Formats: sequence, structure tokens, C-alpha cells
Amino acid sequence: MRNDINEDLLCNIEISESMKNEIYLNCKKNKRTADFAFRYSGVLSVVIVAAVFSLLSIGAAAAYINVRQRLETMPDEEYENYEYEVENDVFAAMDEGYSRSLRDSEILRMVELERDYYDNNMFPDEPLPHLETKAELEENMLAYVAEDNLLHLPESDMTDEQLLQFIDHDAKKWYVNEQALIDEGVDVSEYSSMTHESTPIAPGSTEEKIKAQADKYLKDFYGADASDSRWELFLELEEGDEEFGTPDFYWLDYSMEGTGMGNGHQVWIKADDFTPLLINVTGCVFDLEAAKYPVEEVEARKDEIASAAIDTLDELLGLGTPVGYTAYIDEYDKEEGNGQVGFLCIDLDYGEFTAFACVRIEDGKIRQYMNNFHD
Amino acid sequence: MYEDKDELETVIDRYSNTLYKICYLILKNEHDTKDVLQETFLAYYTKKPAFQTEEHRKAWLIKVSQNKCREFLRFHKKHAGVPLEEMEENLMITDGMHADEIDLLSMIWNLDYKLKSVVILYYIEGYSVEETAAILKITKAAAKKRLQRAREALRTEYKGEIAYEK
Repeated sequence: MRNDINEDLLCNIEISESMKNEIYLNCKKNKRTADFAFRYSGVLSVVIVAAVFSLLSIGAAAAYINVRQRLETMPDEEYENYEYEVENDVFAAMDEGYSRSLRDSEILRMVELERDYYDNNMFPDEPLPHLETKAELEENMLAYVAEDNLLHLPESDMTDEQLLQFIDHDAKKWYVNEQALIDEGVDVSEYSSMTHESTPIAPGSTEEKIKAQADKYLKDFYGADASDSRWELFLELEEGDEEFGTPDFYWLDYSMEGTGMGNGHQVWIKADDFTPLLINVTGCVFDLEAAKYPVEEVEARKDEIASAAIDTLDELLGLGTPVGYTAYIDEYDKEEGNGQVGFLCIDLDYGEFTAFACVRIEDGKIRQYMNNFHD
Repeated sequence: MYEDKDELETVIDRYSNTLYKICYLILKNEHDTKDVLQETFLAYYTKKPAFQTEEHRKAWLIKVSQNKCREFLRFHKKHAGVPLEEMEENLMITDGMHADEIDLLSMIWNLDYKLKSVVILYYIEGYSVEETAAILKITKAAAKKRLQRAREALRTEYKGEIAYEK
């Protein structure tokens, strides 16, 4: 019998009318799900989770031991405050639990301070205040308020002390939640899959040569210093696939502990000639730092931006001049960017192969280059 | 759009079944699937995004639901390994299906999330590699690679012939 992977396989999976109706009514009432899964879904939680658990798995860093000790020796009253906060946290995204969204400048600074918090024991002088009512809030104060179950952020940009309080608050909140899970019999070590472990690279090995080449690409494209010892590198050989036209290539994933959302790179290098298939900056810092421009302005300048990017690719990779190209703004950027975008996409046709580049408009740096193999 | 009818109701009518199939296959139980759908439609209802076409609207809903599924799985790994045959609901899911089809569904069911999500979008929902990549916010090359890995996994597990719609 012929077995197709198609929608018929799911013919018996159908939503009931009663469930549709319930969802509709709940949405109309703005009713949220109260499941734990949605308590820690924000971007920043990934930072904390990645930092806490990656450090847990390694366990050797003295600085981390001090962070862990700090969490384990929380005063009872503070611990109970966090238990209350965790118990009442039913937000779908973490920033829905804040009185305002985090600003890009705050996130960028927080990425730096997180490293100081976890690696260098730079803690806030005072813990983040837990208040009962909004009336207790003072001007430009950072505090959790039980009355409305919100973390109130100051109208002004948070200071370094407040950012450290914010980081400390999330670490403590996560720790208290983790303890609750342990009490419920949940094996929290299951989350250890989020950790990164560097691939051991022997001097003089092929892997060392691959890494050196990948480091050079990152340096040439972004000025990124991938030789920094804080980078953890995962490297493996990926076998190609004839059907999709993918050759054998080395996959390199760079991550930096304690900056879960802040920094990351991916490089794919062809195994036979060390040419790049993919050079990609994946951390949010590169995005957040990018200046944004009105869509109309970028549309008007797109050929100029694309032309400069083509020259850069020729200079760095010797690709020459494409037989054709299409420059455009990603639809999702348009939808999410409130009429302002920071990047331009370019589909490039070099005849024998096609490629894709994503260019930061501000300075023409190419945050992603991808050879499309056979397209 | 949808001037003659409550817009939310119309959107739920039109897309809830698609989202339900996708999310159910990923989350593997009805309760969690309902939670994800509720969060997805609530996000739609509160954000009220504007779309040029229905395809954009559908892609947005799938993208949001996939984000919710991923967030969910991050904290509920205990669900990840439950095989189809152990699920109480499986009698309904596989009702009337041939044994080979049940085997194939079971293997897709037990794929890792990353692989399963591209299989669903590419093979079942009919999105292109580019569209699949955009919805999952991964590169086109990564989408291709995941499809390749999924097919390898299915070939390894499944002894019969697997034919693909695309």
C-alpha cells in the first residue's frame, strides 16, 4: 500500500465545536491559560534558563557557586514573596507581566550585566522590592506589586543597579519555581539539553583548521572576535543529501554563556574546499543595535545598499558580479517593525548557484550570507 | 474584513481546525493543544494584526501557535516521549486507518519537535521550504536540513515505502 505523508493522515484529528466555542468565549473574556508552560515564555527567561542550567551542568565556576549560594540562602520572607509571584504568574509572554516593555538600550546593557552577574558576582546592592499596593510605588522605582501582579518598571531607563535587581529577580524567581518543580517530583535535569558544551578540538586537527577558517569569516564579515575564550563552539560534520543538493559540510555553532539571547553565530563550511555555505549572526544584540529606517526610504535606497553588499561579497568571497539580484524587505520585518526596518534582504543569482544575503542598512554589514546549494 | 460576522469567531471557524491538527501532532494531547490554541487566538484578538491576504493571516496564526508549542515543550519535556500507542486518545486518532498508515503516523508523532514541525508545514500543510523557514523563523538551509533529517529518520524506522505528496 502506498503511504503518503499528507493531510489525510490527520483526518481523525479534529477540533470539536464545543472546544472552538470555549476558546472563542475565553478570548472574548481575555481569559488566559494558567498553565506553567506560559509562565516563563519571554525572551529574557531563555537567558536565565540557559544561564542557570548551563552553569548547573558545568558546576565548576566559582562565580556560579556564589550565584547558586545566593539563591539558596535567600531569606525566608523573600523566598515566600517569590513563591507568591510564581504562583500568580500566568502571563503568556514575560513582558506581559511588566508595566512597560523593556527598551532596546536596556536589553543591550542587560546582556552585559548578566555576564557580570553570573561570571563576576556583580550583585545589586539591594534586592528588588516587593510591594503590596501601587500606592507604595515611588517615582522611577523598580518593584513587584502584588495588587496588580505586575513588575513595575521605572518610566526612565533602568539604572545599572535596577538592571542588576531585574536580573537578580528573574534568577530568584526561576530558582523558586525550580524548587517547586522538584517538590512536585519533576526531574529538572531534563532541561539540561539547553546547555552547550564545547567540542574538543585537537591542535593540528582538521577541526582546528575549520574553526580557524570560520573565525576568519566571522571576523571579515562582522569584525567578531570568535577566538575569545568565552565562546563555546559546537562543531560537527554534516553529511550531504543528494536530493536537496546539500554537500558534506561542517556545522559550527558559537554561543556565549550567560548571554542566552545576546550573542551567537553559525557557520557552515563545505568539507571539500572550506568555502562558506552559511555565515550567520543569530544573537539579538546585532538586531537591537541596528538603526531603523522608514520602509519608504529603504525601498528607495535598496539598489544602492544591494550594490555595496555585492561588492563586499566579491571582496570577501570572490563571488564576482551576479547575473541578477532582487533586493527586498522581509514581510515579517515590515509587520513587526512599525514602519521602520533595519535590514534588507537580497536574493542573488550567480548563474551556477544562488545565494541570499541579509544586510544591516546602517553600515552595510552582512548579518547573514547563505549559499543556496543548487537552487 | 469579515464585516457581517464577529471577526474572531470567523477566524476561529476558519483556522482552528488547521491549528488544532498541527499543534495536536506536536503536543500530543488535547488539553495542551487547547491551551496553545487559546493563547494563539487570544494573541490575535488582543493584537489585532492587519494582513494583506488570508495567506498572511494563516501563516501568522501558524507562526504564533508554533512559538507557543515550542515554549510549551521547553517546559514540558515529560510529554515528548509518549508514543502514540500509549495515548488514550489514539483510538480516535487512528480510527479507520490502515496499519501502515498508523505506523507512519506513529513515527511522525514520535519525531523530535524540530523535525516534526518542518514535516507538518512542508508535507501536510503544503508550504514551500521558504515559507516553512519563514514561519519557523529559521534559515531556508536549516529547513532543508531538517527535512532531510526527518526523511532519514522516517526511512530508518519505517520498513515500507514512503511516498511524499510533494
